[in-house]
Amino acid sequence: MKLRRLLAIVFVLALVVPLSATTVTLVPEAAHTSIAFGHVGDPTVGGCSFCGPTPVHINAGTPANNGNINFTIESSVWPTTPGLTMRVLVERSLDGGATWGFLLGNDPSDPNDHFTSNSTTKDGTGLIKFGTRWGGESMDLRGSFVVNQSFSWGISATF
Amino acid sequence: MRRFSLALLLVCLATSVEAAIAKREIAEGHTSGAPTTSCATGTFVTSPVTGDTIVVGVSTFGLGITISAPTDTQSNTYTQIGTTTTTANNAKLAVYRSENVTGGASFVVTGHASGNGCTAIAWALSGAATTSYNGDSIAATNTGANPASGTSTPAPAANSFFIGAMTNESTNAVTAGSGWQFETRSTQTDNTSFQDLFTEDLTTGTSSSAQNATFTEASDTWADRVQSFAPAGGAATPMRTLLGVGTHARR
Repeated sequence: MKLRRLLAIVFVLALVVPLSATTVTLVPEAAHTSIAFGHVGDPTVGGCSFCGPTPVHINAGTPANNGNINFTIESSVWPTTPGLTMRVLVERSLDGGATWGFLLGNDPSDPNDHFTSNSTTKDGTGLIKFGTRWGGESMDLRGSFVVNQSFSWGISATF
Repeated sequence: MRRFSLALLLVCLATSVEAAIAKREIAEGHTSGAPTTSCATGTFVTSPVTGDTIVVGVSTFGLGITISAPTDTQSNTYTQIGTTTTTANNAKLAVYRSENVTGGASFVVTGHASGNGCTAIAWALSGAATTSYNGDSIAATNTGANPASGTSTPAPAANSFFIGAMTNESTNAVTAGSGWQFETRSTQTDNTSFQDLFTEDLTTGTSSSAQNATFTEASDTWADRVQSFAPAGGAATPMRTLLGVGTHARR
């Protein structure tokens, strides 16, 4: 579990330097179709540090950046290529995988809610950014990044 | 003496009947990336139950961008408290409420803006009155380092619960004002990507004192709102909102 080790390091760093955020690459930018993780049958993807059928476990602890976890889609083509879409769904379990609840992403009650490309953002990059904040409790994560076609994209996370 | 003790006991029981409001849970979410029009808060760790009050703060940014009513996975209806506040450089703040909600597991609240992403924070409150809200709001403008909604009138019911929400235009470090419990500081290290939304709360106890939602930060442009919630069964004191908009030198 590369990500588990990585997050453990991140959380240790968070305790030592509580106000400094750390950014990690979860999916290196490359041509990808949709990616899911934490579900039975999910494939591994080259270079993806959390892809596969095993849910990602987050140890209890307070992350840096005041408890925030922010994801950014890294893509050289997203801001300038019209017609691309991505729907993000990350769920969490607090009971070892018995029950799951929405953690972050698009509106879970609206299947038509998704991110669209070729747009401007407050910081001028045009890239998708989304996140949430939690209380530092231990949890397991599973999720999916569903795109409408293959294009060059990756994911980074800031804790 | 026995009669006095009985009277004292009755007084104590009468006092304890007025239940305080309990903060059940807070959930938060934020997005950036136009035309993103929703920001789901994540599942409440402790699910809201039927009868709870849900309060939702939403912030966004941009000229012409509007905030609309939140939705949730239980199809509850949300009413805006006062109006949307817009700072000089188009940071926007709106607060909504839904009383006597239908609760349930996997409860997710989603804020909505017309573009540019948004940040949403939802509180679930138990024990809040469902009939005494009257929607009064008072606006104020302030210039200074520390956002302050101003102090509302009239005085609240005893054991009222107050929520303060503030958005700004900087990456300033923000803490709660004296007497307030800081709840969320959504994205203070990345206000270039997300629109900040800071929240705090307090319970008045038996003092029934009006409250001013204050935050501590350096010079900034900000919008700040305070909202009180009376306990169910409490005195018939109207709920009220107070809204302040302040401007100061930008970073």
